[in-house]
Amino acid sequence: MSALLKAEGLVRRYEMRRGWFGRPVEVRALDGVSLTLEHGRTLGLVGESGCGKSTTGRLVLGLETPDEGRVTFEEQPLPAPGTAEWRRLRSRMQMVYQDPLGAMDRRLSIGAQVAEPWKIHGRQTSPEQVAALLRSVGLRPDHAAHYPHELSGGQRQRAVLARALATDPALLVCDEPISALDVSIQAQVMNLLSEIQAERGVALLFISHDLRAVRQMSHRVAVMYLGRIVEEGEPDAVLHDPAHPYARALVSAIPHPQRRGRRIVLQGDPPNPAARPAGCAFHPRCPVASARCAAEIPVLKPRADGRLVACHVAHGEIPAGSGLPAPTLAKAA
Amino acid sequence: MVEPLVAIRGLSVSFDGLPALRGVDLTVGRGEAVALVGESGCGKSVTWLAALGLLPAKARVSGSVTLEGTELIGAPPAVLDRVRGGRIAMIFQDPASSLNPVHRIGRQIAEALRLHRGLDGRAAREEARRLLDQVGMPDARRRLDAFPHELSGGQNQRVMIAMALAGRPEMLVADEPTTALDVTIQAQILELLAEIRRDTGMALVLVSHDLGVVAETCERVCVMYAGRIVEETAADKLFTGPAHPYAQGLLAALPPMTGPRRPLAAIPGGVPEPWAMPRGCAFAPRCPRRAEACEAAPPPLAEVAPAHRAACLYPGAAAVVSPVPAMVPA
Amino acid sequence: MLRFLSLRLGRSLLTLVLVVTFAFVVLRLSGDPALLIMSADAPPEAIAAFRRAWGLDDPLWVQYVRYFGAIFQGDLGNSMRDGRSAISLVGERIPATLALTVPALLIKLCLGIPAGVYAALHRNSLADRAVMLLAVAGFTVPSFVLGLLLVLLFAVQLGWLPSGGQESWRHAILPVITLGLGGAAVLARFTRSAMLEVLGQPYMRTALAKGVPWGVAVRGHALPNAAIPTVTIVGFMIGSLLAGAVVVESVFSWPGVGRLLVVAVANRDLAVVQAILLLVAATMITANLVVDLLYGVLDPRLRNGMRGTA
Repeated sequence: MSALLKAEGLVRRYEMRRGWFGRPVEVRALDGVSLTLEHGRTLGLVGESGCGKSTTGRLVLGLETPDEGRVTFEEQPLPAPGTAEWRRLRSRMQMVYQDPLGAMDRRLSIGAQVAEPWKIHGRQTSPEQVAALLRSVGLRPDHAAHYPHELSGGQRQRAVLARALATDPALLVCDEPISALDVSIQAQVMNLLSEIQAERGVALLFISHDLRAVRQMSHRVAVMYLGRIVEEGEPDAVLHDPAHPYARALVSAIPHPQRRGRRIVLQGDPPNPAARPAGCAFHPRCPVASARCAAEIPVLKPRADGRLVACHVAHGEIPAGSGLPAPTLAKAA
Repeated sequence: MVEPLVAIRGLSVSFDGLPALRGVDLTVGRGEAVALVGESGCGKSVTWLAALGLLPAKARVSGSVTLEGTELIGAPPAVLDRVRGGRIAMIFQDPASSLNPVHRIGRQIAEALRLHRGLDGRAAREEARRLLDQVGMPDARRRLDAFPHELSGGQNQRVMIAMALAGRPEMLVADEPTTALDVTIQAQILELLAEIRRDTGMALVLVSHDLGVVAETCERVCVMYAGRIVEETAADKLFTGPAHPYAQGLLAALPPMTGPRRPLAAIPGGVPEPWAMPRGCAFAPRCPRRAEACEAAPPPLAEVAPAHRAACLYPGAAAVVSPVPAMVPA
Repeated sequence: MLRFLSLRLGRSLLTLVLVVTFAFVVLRLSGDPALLIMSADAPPEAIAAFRRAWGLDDPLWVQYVRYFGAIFQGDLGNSMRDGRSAISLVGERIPATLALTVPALLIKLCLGIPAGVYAALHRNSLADRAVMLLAVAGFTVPSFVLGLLLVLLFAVQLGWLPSGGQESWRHAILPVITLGLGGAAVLARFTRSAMLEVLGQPYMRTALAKGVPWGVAVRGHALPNAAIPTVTIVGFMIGSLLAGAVVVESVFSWPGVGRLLVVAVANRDLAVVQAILLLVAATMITANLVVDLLYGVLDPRLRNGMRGTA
C-alpha cells in the first residue's frame, strides 16, 4: 500500500531576537525530519517542549513551508500554502488542537461551526447532516444550538473533532488533543479517536508528550529531541525496550505506582533550539555519551531488529561512555 | 493518637453562592506526605488556598483549619503572615508567572529570609545562595542576580522551592508543582521534593491530578470529587484496591503500558457543574453502581477497612487492572 | 543599544517630516493667506505684492522645497502677520503654557495615580465606585464644558476667581484645575486597571504565601509591575505639555502656545503653525523615546543581555 503522507528531510529555521536590542539568532526548530504515514494508521510523535513535534504537524499540513525537504500527500507534492489547490487539499487533512475553546469561534453556535467546512468548500448542508456528524462524535443533535462556552472541555473537543471530520479527511493531525482535558475525559476522547479511525479509515498524526496516550493510540511511534527523530518503531518495542538514551529517560520518567528500580533522572534543562549542542544534540544530558557524541551527529538508521535509532552507542559503534562533563555555562549573546 | 500538625474540619468554600468545597475533613501529621488528587474544579487547590487565607475576598469560607491548635480560618493578618512561609509554605503550578518578573530571584528569596529568619544584607544573600545550591540550581551564585525570565521552567520551580525552604517551614504544600513542566524535568522536581523531605523531615502535601505522580511521592492519598474527599487511604492501597467507584474509574481510564490495546474504560459523562450539584452523591450520575439511596443524600466518608475510608454506600473492590508498566532495565 | 537608538531617531525624523508635510499641504490647500491677512477688499496690487513677497506665486512644490531647505538651516520662517520670526513668537508663549500644564501634570499624577491604586485595592467598594464614576465623568466631559462649568461656578456665581486672562496666579487656578481633573480621571482609570491586572497575577499570591504582609506586597510587588503600563500614559501626558492646552487656553483666554496656534491657523499664518506643530511633534517624540527607555529600566524582560543560558 502506498503511503498517505510522506515527509522527507524537513528543515525549518526561525529567526529569533532576544530582548529588544539583541542580535537575531537562528533557531532550528526542525533539523531533517522524515516520516511516513499510511492510510488508516496512527503515527505517534512524542517529545518535550521545543523538540519540534508541533512544527512537524504544521509543516505536513502545509500551514508552514519547510526551508528544506518536501512533503507529499497522496503521492502529490504539497502545493504552496494559500493557493486554491492547497485549499482543496486541505479538506482532506485537518488539524485538532490542544485548546478546543481557542480553536472555536465563541460567537458561532456549534452547529454553525460544524457546518462551516462544508460552506468553505462550497457544499450544501442540512440540519440532518450536522446532527449525524454530532452524533458520530458522541454529542447530541441539540448541542448544535449551543455556544462553545456552554460546553464542557470534553464536549468542546468532540465538537472540534466533528468540524474536522465534516470534509471527510484522510488525515487528522492531532496536536496534544487531550492534554488540556481531565483524566476521566482523556479516555473518552482517545476512545472516540480510535472509533473514528476504525470507522472512517482516517490516518492520525498523534502529537503528545504523554507516552501512555501515545501507546494507546499509535501503530508507530517516533521520539523527537531538538528537531530530530532519535528513535522510531513499534510502540511496545520502543516503550518497553527503548534503545536511545533519551527515549530510555523519557520512558523511565513516566510516573506510576509501584515503581521498581531507580528512575533515570536526566540532568539539565530541556535544550534550547537557539543554542543547539554540536554533535548529538542530546550529548550534554546523556549518561552514556563519550567524546565522539560531541563531535559527530548520529544518523537515524535501522538496527538489526528493524528499529530506527540515531545513537552511536545504541548501534554499537562505540562503547557506552559515562557522560561528558557539563560544559561551562556559555554566556549567551 | 499524636496531635496532627494540621487539622481541617468541615472546610467549605463558595464563590458567589456556588459551592467549590463542600465540607472537607483532613489531617496531616508531622513529616507526613499526603496527596490530594482529583480533576480540575474538584477543590483540591482551593482547600489549601482557603487554609492559608489566600483566596480572593469574595470567597465565603467556613469550617476550621488548625495548625497545632491555632485556628487559621479568620485569623488576624499578623498571625497568617507568620504562618505563611514560616510554618506552611506553598508552591504553585506555573513557576514562571509565580515569581515576580521585575525582581531578581536573589531578592525574592532574601525577602522570605528577612521575614522569617531576620536575615539581611550579606547574610541573606549567602543563605539564598546556599538554598539555591540545596535545590540543585547550577551556578547558584550567579543565578542570584538573574530575573525569572532568564531561567527555564524547571529552574524557576527550583527557585520557588528554595524560597519555600527559606522560612524552614514544617509543611510544604505543592500545588501541581510539575504540571507545567516537561516529563524529564518533572522527574527532577519530584526527586528534589523527596530528597528535601528526607533531609528536613518536612511534611508534604502534594496537590495533583496525576495519579502516577501522587503514588510515587506520597504515603497517603485523598481522592477528591466535586468539592469533597471521596476516598482516603494509603497510596499503595489505592492503586491495588480502590473502594470508591470514582477512584476505580480514574485508574481504569489510565492507558496501560503493557498488554493488548483495547478501548479504555472511560468514565461516562462529566463533572457536575457547581450550579447543578446533585442532591445526593455527586458522582451518582456517572456511577455504574448507582442505586436509589445514592440520590437521597451525600454519603459520609466512612471506614471500609482500617485506615481506609470511602464516601460510598456500596464501596467495593472492583476489578481494577493495575496500571503497572513494564520497567526499563535501569 | 546604539542600533536601537539610531533606528528610533531615524523613525522620529521621518515622523517629523510627515507632520510638516501634512500641515503644509493642508494649510495651503484650505485657504489663501494673502486674502485672509490682507482682507478681501484690499487692492489687487497689494495682494499680488504680498504674494510675491512671501513667495506664494511659486508652484506649491517649489514653496515646499524652499520651506524645507530653510528648516534645515534652523529657520522656521517669519509670521506673515507681523513679520517677526516664528521661533521667537512661539518661544515667548511657551512659559505661559507651561505655567498651566506643569501644575496640571502634578495634579494628574498626585490625584490620578493614588485614586486608581486605591480604587483597585478596594475593588467594588463604595469608594471604588465613586472614583470610577468621577473618572468616567472626568474624561467624557470635554474640557471646554468642564472649564465653562468651573467658570460659571467659581467666577460668575461665587465670584472667587477670575474667569480669564493672565494677570495674576489666581488667573491660573481654574485652567489648571480644568486640565488637571480631566487628565487625573484618565490616569485613575488606567492605573486602576493596571493594578487590578497585577493584583490577579500568580506572583502576588506567591508573595502572600511566603508571608509578605498585604501592604508590603502591594508596595513591593504590585506597584513596580503596575507602573510599567502606567508609564505609557504618563509619557503621553508629558509629551502633550506644550500642545495639550489648546482648548483650555482658548476658554480662559490664556496667552499660551495653544491660543497662538488657534489664531495662526485661522489666519493661515503658515510659518507659525508649522513652527508650533514641529515643536509639538518633537516633544511628543522625545517623550515617547524616554518612555521606551524607561520601559527598559522598569521591566527587566525588555533589557538586553541575558545572564544565564536559560
